[in-house]
Amino acid sequence: MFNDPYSFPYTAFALGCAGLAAVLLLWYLIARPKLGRATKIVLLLGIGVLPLGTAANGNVAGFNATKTRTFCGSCHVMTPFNDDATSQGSTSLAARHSRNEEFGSEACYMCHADYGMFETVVTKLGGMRHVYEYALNFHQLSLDEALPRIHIRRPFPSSTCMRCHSTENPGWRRVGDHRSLLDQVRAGEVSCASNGCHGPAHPFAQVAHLKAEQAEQARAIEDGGAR
Amino acid sequence: MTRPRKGRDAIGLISRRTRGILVVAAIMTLLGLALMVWSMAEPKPMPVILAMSAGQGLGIFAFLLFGIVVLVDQLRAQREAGAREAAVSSGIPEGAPGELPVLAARSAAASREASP
Repeated sequence: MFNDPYSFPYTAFALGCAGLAAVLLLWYLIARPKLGRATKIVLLLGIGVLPLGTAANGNVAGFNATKTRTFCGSCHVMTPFNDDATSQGSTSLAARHSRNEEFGSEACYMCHADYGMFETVVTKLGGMRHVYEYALNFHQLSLDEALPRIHIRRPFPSSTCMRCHSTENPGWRRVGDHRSLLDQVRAGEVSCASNGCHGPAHPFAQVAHLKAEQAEQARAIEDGGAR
Repeated sequence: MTRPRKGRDAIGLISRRTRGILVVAAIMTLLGLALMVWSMAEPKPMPVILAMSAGQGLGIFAFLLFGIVVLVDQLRAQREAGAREAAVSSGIPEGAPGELPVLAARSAAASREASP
């Protein structure tokens, strides 16, 4: 609950407000006082002011919690992604970035967030789609069944990489492929995380996709032979 | 003529059920708070979504109920004060608080109707 130092003051304030409100409301329910001025003030605090404090601070703490890797990894289909990101030995793009202190425990959010004007809100609205997909389509699937079906909705935008890798660094420009693709990378026509460049970021998922495709092709050939 | 009576009926109805409405509001608030605390204790998708939707919805609805009760209580108090004033101005003596002002107001209204 108090692991995240950034959320701690919000969580503590929210819990304090909730505790006080609960005490006032339980007093009203048990003592059954007459509805005078004092009771109205107590109820205004218990039903209005203090729960508002809990909701406002709880929202901030909640938004912070939704950015963490443990939150993303709490759905079972995300387990291999979470395991790969936390693996010290993995050389995948995701794992190497997760080991960076700047990304830390918010590695998923740092790469998959929308960095537009309303970043957190837009990202979280997109996250609601994940909840919908998980609840209706993926919840009952095993990992082996789910992994080939999990895919990124749009190609990974280079603009996200360019928040740190500005493409202006002389060291970056010395690489021939970078130099030749500079305009396309900046225009978002080529993704840094695409095959042949630095991607895919989660290679085991790509392997699962390929295996599923091969199995489907083999089944199609078998069906054709049977006919 | 029907509208004011309907309004008065609603005020009377709410006045009679003040305690019940406030108990419902208090329980709804406690439920909402429980959902919010749960989301902070266990920050996983379902608790967080429930806290930000159902938890806050319960809180808002409970506060609306409280607001309605307070407003109706204020209106009732104003009406009683008006009735008491009417009774005093028409010369009918004041008796026990609470019950008599209403009777007095009725007598005052009757005397007003009777006078040309």
